[in-house]
Amino acid sequence: MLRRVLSIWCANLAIDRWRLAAGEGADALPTALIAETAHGPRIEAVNAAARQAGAQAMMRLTDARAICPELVTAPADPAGDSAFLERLALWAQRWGPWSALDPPDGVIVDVTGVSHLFGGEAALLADVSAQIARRGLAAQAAIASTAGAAWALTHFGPQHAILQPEDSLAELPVAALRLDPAVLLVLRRLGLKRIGDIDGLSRPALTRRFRNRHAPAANPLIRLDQLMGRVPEPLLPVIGHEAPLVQRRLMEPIRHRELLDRVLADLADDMARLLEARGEGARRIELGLWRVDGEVVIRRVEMAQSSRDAGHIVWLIRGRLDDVDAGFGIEMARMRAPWCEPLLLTQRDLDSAAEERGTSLAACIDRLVNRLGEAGVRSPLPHASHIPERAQRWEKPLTPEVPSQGELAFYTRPIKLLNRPEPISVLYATPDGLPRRFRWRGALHEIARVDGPERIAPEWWRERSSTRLRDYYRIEDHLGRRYWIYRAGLIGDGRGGAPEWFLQGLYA
Amino acid sequence: MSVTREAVMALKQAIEGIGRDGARRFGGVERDRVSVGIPEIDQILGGGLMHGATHDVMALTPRDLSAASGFALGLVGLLSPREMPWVWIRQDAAGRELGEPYGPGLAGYGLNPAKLLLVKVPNAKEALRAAEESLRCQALSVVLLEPWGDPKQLDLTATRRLSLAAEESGVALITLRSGGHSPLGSSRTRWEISAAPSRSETEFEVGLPAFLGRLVVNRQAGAGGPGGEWIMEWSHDKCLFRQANSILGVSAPCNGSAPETPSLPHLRCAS
Repeated sequence: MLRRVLSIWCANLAIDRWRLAAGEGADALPTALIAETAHGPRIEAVNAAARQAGAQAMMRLTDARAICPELVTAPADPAGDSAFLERLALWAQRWGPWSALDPPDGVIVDVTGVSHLFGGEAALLADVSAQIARRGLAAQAAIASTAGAAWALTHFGPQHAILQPEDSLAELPVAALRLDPAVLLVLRRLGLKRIGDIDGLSRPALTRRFRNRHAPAANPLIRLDQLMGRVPEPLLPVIGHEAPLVQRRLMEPIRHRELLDRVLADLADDMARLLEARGEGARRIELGLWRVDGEVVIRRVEMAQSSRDAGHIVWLIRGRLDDVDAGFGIEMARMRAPWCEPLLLTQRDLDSAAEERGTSLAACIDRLVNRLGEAGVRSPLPHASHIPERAQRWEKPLTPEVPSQGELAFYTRPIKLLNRPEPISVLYATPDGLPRRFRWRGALHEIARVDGPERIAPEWWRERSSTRLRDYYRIEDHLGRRYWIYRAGLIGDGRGGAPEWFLQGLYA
Repeated sequence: MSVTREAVMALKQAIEGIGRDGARRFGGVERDRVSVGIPEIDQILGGGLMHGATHDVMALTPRDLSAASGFALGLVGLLSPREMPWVWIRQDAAGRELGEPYGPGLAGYGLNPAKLLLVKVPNAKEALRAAEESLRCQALSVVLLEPWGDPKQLDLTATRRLSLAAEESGVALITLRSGGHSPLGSSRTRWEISAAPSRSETEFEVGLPAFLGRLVVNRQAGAGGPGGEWIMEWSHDKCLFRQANSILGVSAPCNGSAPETPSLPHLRCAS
């Protein structure tokens, strides 16, 4: 089926939002939304009155004031704009199954095969205009077979344009290709003003001119192909996400811990029921406590495995409530589960011995993590490297193990590795020969047995060229203590002076 | 006199019985004992090392801590099936001074590093708390507790508490300590470990890890003797200890008679 894409462009998104917040009366005055920059305030957007008075976006405020002294300013809110756009994109899914953001002020909706629900594409566009106008926004909308073409039509085409596959966009200016200003400047200097001009050129010439521009916005050929539908253009759809949320408003602000525990238990019960209905378990839980005097206390806990066990949730959060200052009282408590994972309903073991008598492994890990912090509980995972200290990483417990090549049995590794190899002074018979005795942490060790060397070369793809190779020795001293030492480098390897010795590991 | 001894033995038996009944009443799983690998020790222990009990491993001197931790890891290997997770609780200071556990090395030692949960705690109090929390979890097989130094928090009450928790859940607790005046508590066995030279043909190879182990306390049910002293080797492929007494006489270091000072002209010191 032929793809159809709807593009909506809110030309004055920032001003429209400001007007909706400030009211129509404020809009009668010339107003500019400004942002602070390193060179003073700059105008981000202007309303119609200000534009008539001569102010423009991207102007310095001082320049604009010189033209229009009565200019009123308000701060721009780009974060709010983008959040609004995200909500708008979700709302725009009323016209198609998925939508994507087109920052800073546009939305793209896939309307393939849905126009008949609205009585044809023209009727669909009319509906779009009506709905958006009802929200008090100024918008342009167009339908084409690619996102690029729809964008070009909304920004540079007629109102309510519908592009059929056989229509041509050759008359639109090159700016309709969504290119960077610098590239547009180059094209203008080359005398290429319309899309048709570029399309008429021979492809190899353009390819050569822009051969090292890989970003679509810097390469007119890629943009042209996207516009024509010759190459796909990936878009990131917006997906609505609703976090399970339960809350309790309290008739009387609470100031005592027992009451708070009671509220917490109720919330956890509600949350467990909600999660059970959704067939999910929470991995992260947030508890927000709203105080009478306007303070908000947030406590966040994370779990090693998804869970909807109310008792477990209560246990985890209760440990974090000791330092909560209730002030004049807490009037509202709210529990949210921003990170959930599917958790099937399972029947408990008939002889659910483990659950009744002890804690499960995940619960045990949660309790330890809750107390000791994320770094307090770790599991070693192998990592693909032959440098000993890089061959393992500490990860969260219950992390699935990645498949890796096992250690070869003849590599005997120590059971403990020092955080950082410690320099030792070694006596040896010959500089390249076996060590005889060494001094480590002030004690002298006679070496009774030596096994080695095992040579480990540096990872040249990762390290500097001056990194020296290591010759590892397993040694045993006169009292039977076993160590793993290495000599960094060889004499005359051109990577430093005399080789140094280090102690890195301890055997059993 | 003999009457007194008999009375004491009977009382001991009765106390044993209370403990075991208690374990059942609290729902502790009565698992089999595990063999240490040396028949003589198994017999003295009354049939092997007990699950769900506390075992103390003491380093004879602080310098023997590596050997003691090797022995303790051997006990973990005995008590922990390969697919069951186990916990190693260490104080931060131990990691700084003696190094962190090394997965490839543990794998070579016969353990499964993927099942290790390393719990790092800032102080002895947190270590005890973490140990008690872990001992409640029956999905674990062994909890290895390594406090740093000789903390006074690990007193009689605390060890008794931990032992009860271990008996209740059937998770074995191994405490690894470096000497000190640690009270006996209610451990079933206590081992004093020092490093021993390994057995090898030449001085150019290092044999299996060897320990000089002394069983100083043996209070396991059905214990067949007070204790003893052995040179043990850890055989990582069988995951069992092996007696190496036969080498006592010949295990002197090969160049132990080297002169104290480097008088030979070709000896040079690299620093």
